[in-house]
Amino acid sequence: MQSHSWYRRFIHPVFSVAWRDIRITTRYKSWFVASFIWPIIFPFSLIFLGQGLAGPDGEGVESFTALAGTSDYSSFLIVGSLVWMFVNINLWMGGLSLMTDRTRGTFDTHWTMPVSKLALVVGATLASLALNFVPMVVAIGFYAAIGWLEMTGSIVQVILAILTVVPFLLGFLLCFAALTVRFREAGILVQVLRTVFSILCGLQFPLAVLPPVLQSIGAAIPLTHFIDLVRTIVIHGGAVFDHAASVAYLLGSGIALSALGAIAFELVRRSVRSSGLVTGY
Amino acid sequence: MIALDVDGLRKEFTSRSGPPWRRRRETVTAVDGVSFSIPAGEIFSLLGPNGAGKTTCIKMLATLLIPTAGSARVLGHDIVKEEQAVRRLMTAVLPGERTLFWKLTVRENLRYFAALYGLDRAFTDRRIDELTSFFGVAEKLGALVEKLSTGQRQKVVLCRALLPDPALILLDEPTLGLDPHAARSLREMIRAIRDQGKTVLLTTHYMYEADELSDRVAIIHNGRIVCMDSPAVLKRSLNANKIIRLETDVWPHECTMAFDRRFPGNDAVAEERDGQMHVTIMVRSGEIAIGELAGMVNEYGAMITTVRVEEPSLEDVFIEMTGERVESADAEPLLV
Ligand SMILES: Nc1ncnc2c1ncn2[C@@H]1O[C@H](COP(=O)(O)OP(=O)(O)O)[C@@H](O)[C@H]1O
Ligand SMILES: [Mg+2]
Repeated sequence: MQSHSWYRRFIHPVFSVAWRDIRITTRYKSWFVASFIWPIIFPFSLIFLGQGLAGPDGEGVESFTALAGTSDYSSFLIVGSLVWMFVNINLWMGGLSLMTDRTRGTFDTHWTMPVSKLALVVGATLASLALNFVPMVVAIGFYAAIGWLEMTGSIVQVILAILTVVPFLLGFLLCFAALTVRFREAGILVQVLRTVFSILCGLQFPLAVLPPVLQSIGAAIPLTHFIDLVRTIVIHGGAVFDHAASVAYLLGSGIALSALGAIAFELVRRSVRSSGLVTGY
Repeated sequence: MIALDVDGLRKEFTSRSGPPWRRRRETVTAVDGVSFSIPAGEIFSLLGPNGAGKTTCIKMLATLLIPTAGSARVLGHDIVKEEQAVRRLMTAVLPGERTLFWKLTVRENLRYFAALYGLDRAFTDRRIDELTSFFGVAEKLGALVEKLSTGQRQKVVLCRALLPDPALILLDEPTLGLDPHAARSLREMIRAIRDQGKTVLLTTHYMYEADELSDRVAIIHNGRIVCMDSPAVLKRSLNANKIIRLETDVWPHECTMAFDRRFPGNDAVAEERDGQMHVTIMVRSGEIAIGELAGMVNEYGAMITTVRVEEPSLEDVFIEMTGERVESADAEPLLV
């Protein structure tokens, strides 16, 4: 009886929400563009920029190698861009799903139902993760096929590495959900954070080029560890658990952020029920 | 058996306005001590103009808002302390067209919401078949919601609300935005829901809707219930046997005074709408000869364009109770 109701009250709703988002998203033609065309063109400009900076004979590569620990700058940039795209779209899509639910008018209706509100956020995160696996796979396949990306690591290890960021994304979206429910303008905050992340996490350049202060701030952000982890495994091979410290930091901070998010979400849920901010106002 | 028992429900909203350095806090009392109880199997309407506090009432009952004071029980379960039990017994249809997912089909929507209600698949599918054929939308099960008409969409919303077989259903302005034909058909459906033994609490600002549909009506104004009974009793209590409605080009103040001298014990209320004067005369004592009335009006230089003699309506009850028209605030036509 107990486990049954847990399934009905949480697991089944989570999958229903995820399935709902997947169905809706794939019904828009723009999704195919985002999944099959965007991931291929997205890293191009960076790679050409890299080629330009390397000089006609590639003399710049030496200094890049010193900074980045690899001379394979195209793999470095492609992995950076893809990981960034993955994180970015997840933050964007998951957040968007909650925002549109709020503005669309379906939000209130959900809150009159006996379903856990947490299930709505978890389901939206799950859908976003599932949907964004597709462009990752497309891009990796494409760049590996044309020889610009040299995959040394095994795909299983790469997937394991990607899974380590799930608690962080979930926590981030819970916090975001709490903010969007309470404040209308939370979308702007997320935009700013994404830009800050893109600079501080060393996505498109080696972290070593940043001033030392920014470097140490960057090193504290879990996403930096995530990008480093994926990049190292793709370019140099090895297993996820060779990087126990990074993995522990990612999972630990992710779980902490999720807990914080869950608390914030619950507090906001209560405050909203007395101030009537759910929708419309 | 009492399905819903509401006792002194009250809701205050505090809003802050102005820039941060000169922030003003304002308290709005949206619902000001509302009490009523609904026996099982009844259609009960909250009738009132925009801003009367109907939606706020519904939101409190639907467990979206916590009341500032007062309480309510759904089949004995408190809406604040036992919100989960209440959510299982009572479903709500909130206003707006976007309470379904437009990019999902009707069946996908219903299955999705059934999962959120915690229903199992076999029960859900049986219920979807029953409800969609009952509401006449079964052949639309595979269609995207965006392809449906507004009326069909509203029927799907009713299907959704009935999925978990609730004892009580809340409908906030269910016919808002529907064309007259679709609205009529939806009202028939609402009656049919009651005939299946469910209790219905609905809100509306359409007089005829409350009149036609409800077993009992509570007229709500500025967050308070001003009167409550069956539509027939309310109209009888008006203490007027006929209503004469005049439209004239002008209605000078002296006209009202002359009316009071000539036809004592009766009331005339004049109001300007769309460049015309609309005069409502409550005939309370004796008869008023239209010819005599027209003659009197002409003496003041006014021209009567139309005259109608009607039985009292809930609109007249509302005017009598509050001194205002229900629909003066918005441009909805009085009769559809
Ligand atoms: N969340 C809110 N914050 C502040 N004022 C509100 C809020 N919700 C409703 N009100 C105010 O409460 C009053 C009643 O609103 P409402 O219940 O929506 O009326 P109705 O549904 O009868 O049109 C209105 O004056 C409205 O402006
Ligand atoms: Mg309303």
